[in-house]
Amino acid sequence: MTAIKAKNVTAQLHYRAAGNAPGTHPETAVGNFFPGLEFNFQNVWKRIFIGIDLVEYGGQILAVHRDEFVADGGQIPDGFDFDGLVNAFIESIDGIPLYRDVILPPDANNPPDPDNSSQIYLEWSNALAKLHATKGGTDQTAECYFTKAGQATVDTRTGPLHLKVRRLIEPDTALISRTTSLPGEITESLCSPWQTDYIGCACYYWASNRPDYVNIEQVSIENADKSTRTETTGNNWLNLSRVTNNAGRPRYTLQEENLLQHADIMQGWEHKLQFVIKGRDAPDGSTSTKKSK
Amino acid sequence: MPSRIDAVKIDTTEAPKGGRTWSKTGFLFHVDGEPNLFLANGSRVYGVDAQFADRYSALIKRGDEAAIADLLAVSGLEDLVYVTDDVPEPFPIHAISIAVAQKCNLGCVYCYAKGGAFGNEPKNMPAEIALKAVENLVLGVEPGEKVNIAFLGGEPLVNRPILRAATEHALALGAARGVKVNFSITTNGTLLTADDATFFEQHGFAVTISLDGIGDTHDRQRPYRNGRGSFDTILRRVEPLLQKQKRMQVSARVTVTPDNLCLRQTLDHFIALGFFSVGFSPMLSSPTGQGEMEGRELDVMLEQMIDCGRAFEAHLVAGRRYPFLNMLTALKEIHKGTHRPYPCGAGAGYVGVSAEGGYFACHRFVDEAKGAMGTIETGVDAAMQSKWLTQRHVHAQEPCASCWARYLCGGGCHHEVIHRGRPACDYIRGWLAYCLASYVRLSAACPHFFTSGDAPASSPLAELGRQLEKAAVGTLPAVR
Repeated sequence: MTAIKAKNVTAQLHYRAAGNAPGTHPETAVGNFFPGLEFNFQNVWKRIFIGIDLVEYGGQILAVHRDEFVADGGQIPDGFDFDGLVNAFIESIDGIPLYRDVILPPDANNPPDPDNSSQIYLEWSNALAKLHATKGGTDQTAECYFTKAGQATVDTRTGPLHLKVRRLIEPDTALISRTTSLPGEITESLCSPWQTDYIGCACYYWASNRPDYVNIEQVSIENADKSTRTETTGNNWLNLSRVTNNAGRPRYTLQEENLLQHADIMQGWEHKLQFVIKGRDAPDGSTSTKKSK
Repeated sequence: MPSRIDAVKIDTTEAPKGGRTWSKTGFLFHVDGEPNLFLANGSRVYGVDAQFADRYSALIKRGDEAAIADLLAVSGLEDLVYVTDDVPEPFPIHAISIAVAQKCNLGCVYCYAKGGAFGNEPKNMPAEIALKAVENLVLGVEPGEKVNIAFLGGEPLVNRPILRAATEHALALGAARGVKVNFSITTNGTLLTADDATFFEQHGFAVTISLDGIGDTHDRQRPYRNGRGSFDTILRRVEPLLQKQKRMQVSARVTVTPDNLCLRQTLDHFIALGFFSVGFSPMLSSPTGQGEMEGRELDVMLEQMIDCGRAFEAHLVAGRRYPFLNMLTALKEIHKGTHRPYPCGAGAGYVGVSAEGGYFACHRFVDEAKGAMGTIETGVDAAMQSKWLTQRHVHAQEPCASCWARYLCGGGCHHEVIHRGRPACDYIRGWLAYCLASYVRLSAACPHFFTSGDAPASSPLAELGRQLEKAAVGTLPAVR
């Protein structure tokens, strides 16, 4: 390999190292799809179970394949609405809940309250890595429960259904399986790098950077007992409405209902995002929600 | 005769005996024994290893361009096309020169304007033509843009009232339209007054004084029409400008002929006098043939230029001011990787206006049909401009198409090439070879010079870096 050193500006702009950067290799990348941009690894999880297609983020079921499921030896329990799983969500697999409750940060108006919680969906590359490693490509099944509402509550829970796990990586290689990902699938969504990738990884996966949470200040808040505590305030670009603390400063939120979602950013960012100038919303005072109406 | 200087060894190209180190693709050169590669496409500069250099050299000796392309591709240096054959789409003029006076009080031996009148009756530009030319320029661009006005001649200060009226008209129009107007003047310096110094300083002129050497050396080339020397007068009249320059930049331009080849001595002298910068240009084409440089004289000039360049490097490394303009320009362009299909903006974004209101490709083509571009009344003639740009594209020039330096040089001054040809290609390549090696050395030794924003504002390097930036002001010719 020739040792090349780009010296002037045009040489630096032109130079590309041979091959992909190490951080884009599946075995070394820490994110699903960013910053590699070669493919969206979320899409690879789509057919991990024989008989159903899923979205990795949120675990929503896109389609069911009854014939495939039965032909592979799958058993549909009596009274179980297999075809009705479309649009439902996987709630747990082999006893592993795929949602986690998150108790939101308190402020003076909202003391710590288990009821003031939100649910965060776990990423499969973390939550299901062990499942894939132990049962992928074997005859073993995984016990799955489902929920219709996208929220894990006892009322809507259905199951169990025992699903076989596919092997997503070809044996003894780092190649994505040709049988589980069809041509074109692994690059889906890459047409929108800053909407999809930026939110997915820059904002949430490599959270130490937090490029999405800016104008951060530490403020001292007085508790009801006159003691004080320190809290950070700032602007989260995805805030749907401007959640504020009792000092009138923007408060960081993880509550999904307070945040713009991927679909909002993809389909209507022009109307739903707004300028923040010197830490304040644009002078017209309109909020994202007002604009979107 | 002071022109014959002991040769300064050109140790930067390290050309193998009997072989070439370049092809049309690029140029291999060594700095302190380490191989470097300049690629014509994109004017890219790379450090390479010995194995690559050996293979590249072998392929050059074989003249195997296809194999060279393969070698570059497998090395991650694929030879992309940066400059196509396409001629630029028409775009507004952003720079003009105004021949306010087609007459001159000097009788320089080599003058391209044939004594200032371009072979016609001496004349001054009428006010209405100067004002109309300025209006066309300023009103022809968008608010927020910049334009440049250069006053030339003949000797422009022969017609001082029109020069000042045009300046003030341009400023008023520019202020109303939101267009920034930059001014420059090239003068022989004999008519400068203290009041001129005030005026030029007030408006931030880039003032270029034509000075061809020290004392007698200058006087032999640039005498008054009666034969009397002009040097002492010029220095006396320039002094107030040198003292006053803050916004104004007062530079010296030296036209080099076989009779003034003491470049280093001239450079040091003018820098010591306080000129903002000092630049040299070889006389390649004069109407009478007088003063034109030939091969051997260009060899001496190259040696002298490299001697000046070495002095520049030493001063830069020591953090001292040494404004050798050719070097500043070359380093800036090499650092950026400038690659262009033309040597300058002549006939593209830049045209010259004659005293009678004709547009010409540049100030040298005034009143010459070969460079006609329309008039201030009818505007720049799109067909003439397109024909000019098509014919003058470096891809249409020979032997430029097979030269590694084609996108730095751009094919050479149109005026000189059309009137004489290309007698100085080896000189230009030799100078660029030296400048490339110098760039490799200085970018390692003084990186702040190329990124002046990184250096403390008060440091000598930052000052030199700012000077590098200012070297781009005006309508400088290509790197040479």
